[in-house]
Amino acid sequence: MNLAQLLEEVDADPAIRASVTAWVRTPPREAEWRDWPEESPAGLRRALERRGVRRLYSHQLAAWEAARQGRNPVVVTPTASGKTLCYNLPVLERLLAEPEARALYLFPTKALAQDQRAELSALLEALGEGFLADTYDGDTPPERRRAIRAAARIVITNPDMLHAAILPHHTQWQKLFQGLRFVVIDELHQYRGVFGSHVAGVLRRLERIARFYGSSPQVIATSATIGNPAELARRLTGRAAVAIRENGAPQGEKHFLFYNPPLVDPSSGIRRSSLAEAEAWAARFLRHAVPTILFGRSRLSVELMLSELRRKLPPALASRVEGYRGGYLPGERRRIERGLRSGQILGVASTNALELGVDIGSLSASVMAGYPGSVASTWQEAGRAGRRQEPAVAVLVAGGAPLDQYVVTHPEYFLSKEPEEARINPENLYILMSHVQCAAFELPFRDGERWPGLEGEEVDLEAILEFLAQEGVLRHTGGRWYWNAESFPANEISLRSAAQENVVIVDTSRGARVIGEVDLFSAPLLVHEQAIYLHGGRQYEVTRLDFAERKAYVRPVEVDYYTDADLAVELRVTEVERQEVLPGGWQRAWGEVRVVSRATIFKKIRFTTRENVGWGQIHLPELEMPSTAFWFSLPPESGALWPQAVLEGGLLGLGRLLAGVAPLYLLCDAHDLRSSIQARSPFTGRPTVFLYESYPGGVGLSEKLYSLHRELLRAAFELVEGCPCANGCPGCVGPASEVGPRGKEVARALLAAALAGAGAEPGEVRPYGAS
Amino acid sequence: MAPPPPKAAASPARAGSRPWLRSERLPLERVPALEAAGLDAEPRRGLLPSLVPLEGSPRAWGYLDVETTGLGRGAGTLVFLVGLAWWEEGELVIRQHLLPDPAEEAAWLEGVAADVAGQAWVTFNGDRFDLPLLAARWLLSHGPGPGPNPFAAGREGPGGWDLLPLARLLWGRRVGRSSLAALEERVLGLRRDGDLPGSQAPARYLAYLNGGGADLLDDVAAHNRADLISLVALTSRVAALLACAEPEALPGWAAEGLGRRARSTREPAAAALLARAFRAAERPGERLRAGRLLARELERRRRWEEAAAVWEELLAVPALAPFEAYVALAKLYEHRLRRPERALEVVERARRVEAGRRLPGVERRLEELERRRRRLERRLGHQA
Repeated sequence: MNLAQLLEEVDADPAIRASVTAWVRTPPREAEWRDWPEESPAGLRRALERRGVRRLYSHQLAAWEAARQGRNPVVVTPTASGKTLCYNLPVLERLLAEPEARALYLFPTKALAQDQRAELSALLEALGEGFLADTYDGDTPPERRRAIRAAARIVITNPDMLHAAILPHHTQWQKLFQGLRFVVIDELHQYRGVFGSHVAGVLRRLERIARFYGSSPQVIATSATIGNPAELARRLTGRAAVAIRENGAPQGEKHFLFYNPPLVDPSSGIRRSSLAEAEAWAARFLRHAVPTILFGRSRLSVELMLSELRRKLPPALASRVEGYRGGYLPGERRRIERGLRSGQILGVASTNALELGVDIGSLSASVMAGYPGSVASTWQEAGRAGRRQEPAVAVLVAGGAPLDQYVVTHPEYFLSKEPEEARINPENLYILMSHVQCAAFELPFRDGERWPGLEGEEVDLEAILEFLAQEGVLRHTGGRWYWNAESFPANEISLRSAAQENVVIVDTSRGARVIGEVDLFSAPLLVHEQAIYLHGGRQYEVTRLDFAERKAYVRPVEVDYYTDADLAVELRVTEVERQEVLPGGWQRAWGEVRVVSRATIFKKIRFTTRENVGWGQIHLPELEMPSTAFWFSLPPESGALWPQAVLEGGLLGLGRLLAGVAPLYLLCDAHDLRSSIQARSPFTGRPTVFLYESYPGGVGLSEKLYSLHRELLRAAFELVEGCPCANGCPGCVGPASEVGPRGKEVARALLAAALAGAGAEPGEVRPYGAS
Repeated sequence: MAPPPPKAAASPARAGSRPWLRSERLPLERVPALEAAGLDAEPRRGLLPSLVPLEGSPRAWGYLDVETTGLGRGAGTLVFLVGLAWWEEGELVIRQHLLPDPAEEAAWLEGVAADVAGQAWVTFNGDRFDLPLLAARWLLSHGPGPGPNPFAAGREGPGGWDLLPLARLLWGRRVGRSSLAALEERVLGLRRDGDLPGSQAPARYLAYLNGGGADLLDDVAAHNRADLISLVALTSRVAALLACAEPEALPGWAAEGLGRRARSTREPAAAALLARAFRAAERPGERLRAGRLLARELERRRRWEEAAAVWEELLAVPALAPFEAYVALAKLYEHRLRRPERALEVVERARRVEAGRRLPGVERRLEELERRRRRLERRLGHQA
């Protein structure tokens, strides 16, 4: 039975159909071909013809032409659409025309850079010009480093290496910087949040050094589908970018199924395990030899589904199913990638590691166990199934969390929605200060020098320089600001982790091996004693937290729960950026806050059902953190409508709902935002719900939430309204044991009133199912 | 040439004396640990001219050593002191350029460049540190324009000789570490009293910049001066050794280091140097090491008889003779000298020795010898 017949059979099965909340069919599409441009270099054309490329897809030509016009294209296309030619064509054309020209390729990880080197080498070999293109990363041996510095026309690296090895030693890279014509940024969408904000700082430093050597490179980026590719590119690079969205590659028919596992106990809101259901879907496809990828949200869920799948399938098929995740060794991963491309391997269970641009060819079915967390990730995981000629299917199996339940019960919302916008905030003072220091080390600032901000306006660079000079880090003399310390600033600054001060995580199972770090403010929540810490897809239990020494000692474990800590938070508003009084006396605002937090207790929560299976106390000191927050205040009289405890339960539920649906609009992780409530806020004088950012100084999420408050309220209302539980469950406001017996009712009433107050037409507020 | 006095009065250090250019002339007899004979020795006329990039003698060369604000070569590391020394009419001229303020770096470097121009410079690790750093400073202060970089390596820059690799070759084994300080103590027999450790120089300069007074730099200048003098003395020793035209005049340890290097670059002098090292070795370990290298070198030059003689010498005390020597000698007799009966005899000796001293791996060695013995016996049998 082929996939089309299999899908017909599924369609006819009433038991399955009852749980499918939406079935979307996208008709097949022909390729949009373009002829090779006439004035292009003949050698390049011959090289590509030798590699089987005779014509170009429309997006490839569009990117090439934009680059030729001196613009900065961002190509937004799915996997397997030939995106690498979008940058290789303009780059190679320039390298052929100008003997001193150079290009720098940035990939978010070493593995992706290696993939690209292999592909580029094959193309360069066909071209036969003897261009050197090589990866420069932590694994590059010293003698090759010298050759790359001197002669590589294309240097392939990652932002961390650019930050800590290339820019601080730019005098050894004179040829690269003098000849730099193109900076290629692949997987642009990865550069968001804290990491993206740091990379924006690195790219401004790159621009500055290039200018010193008299060059001004163009940027070519590629991105998975996100809401704001051109804006993200502009914010990252400080240069105007043009998005190329049309995809000229052909595509077979596509099916997208939303599947909500049946309820086991309607009153508590418990459903059948999303893992078991997802694994059953994958087995259904694999039995008919349909190449399938099964995405799990954690290493544990991937391993559970994999072993179950292998147990159920006949041996001949079971041996063709593999797992794939962060902890696997590079050689193992390469073997699996090759097997998938060749068809030797039929099925793979993976974490989101395969969401990245790793080349595994195209499969026919993608099954997602749990909502991937964002519209953008969902399309990426779904897009792993998609062939140029044959049909493909993606099945989203919802889990128990509020976000999952919202998406599966509002598929029309999901489908109509643009993918989230990736937010960065390079003006976060902490991040900015880091890069100003590195930049001063690389080249003294001149008086009056500018540092481009987000929207073309200038950052107040002088204030930062003055401050650093006061602290003795810089020295102002002769109209310049000189680095004034023995240390090497890039060593102190990690692009991937948060605050300057981190807690180091030490695995004590084999000697004492540092496996990672968390920022100080997250430590009480993530690495308190007995916490389950997930790293590289593995589970570790924290055996001891030495807070004074900033060390958490862990050992690997295999358990079926994760831990979630409660934080007692006191939040003080220090500066209001914007606020508005809404009709009905409601208020919204965003601004700077100070958050004093103390972790109190933690709960152990089962992965599959989100049941609470245990708890413990946390004894750690208070921490104070500056951040930004979005807050939403009730009219003053609403405090009198319910007894205080009931109101608090309702506010708590409201905070959970708002924090739960916020990732619908922002590309951020669930723990990047936290909620805090004040039944009578000392600052606003009213009952207030705060959503604050967990990274010191914030990365721009609060401002966006402020502008999105109506959408947030509506989504929260629809979620609580459509949830079948009686009075609270993990899928909406949280269980009644936490929000009280009337928590759900009060949260719902507050949302309904807020939406009316926020100016929504009454007809716009519809409970799910009434439409 | 002293840089012009700074215009802005941002640093209190400028209020006092301005010792930004320190000059001194030191009579030859007051340069400690100098090997007078080396001063006029011309190492390019010695046994291994390829090891010596500079023509002439130490008296004609300059000596360069810098102090910086950090050990890394990152773009934020400043050179704040360039120490230069050269010989003039029997006196050692020492000239130290100090950077009064980073804001004056461009003009200051021009002053340094004027002093450096037209001279060949001896350094210690200068190829990897001092000169690239100076070149980077020039690039940063003058921009990447088309003009030549007076500190760049290669033809446009100053000629130079970095003594570090050679010092490692000559003294590395004996001194253990090849830092200038270690060589100074163990080779030149000098001790510094009250010297500021070089690692503290960056902090001193930063303290000075932050208003600490120019006298903070006196200790750094003294340290740099001592480094320069050691470099001058060390160069006289190296030159004397390398200018030697007769291996027999060299001490054994020097002959070994040079011979090892000559062998790796396939210079004809290698055999003579290693022979000298072998004959002059003071300790058994040295003798063994030199002997092995010598025998291998002779084999490479197809001097089979001489190679065999060296291996035979290494077998003089059978119980302390290396297994390698037995095997090599047996192969020489069998394949090159066509004397299988001697080969067999060597194998028999080796078997007795190996069986007697029973080192780890003895079984494998005995098996190897046994195979060789059987083959040799077959061959002798056929001949008979």
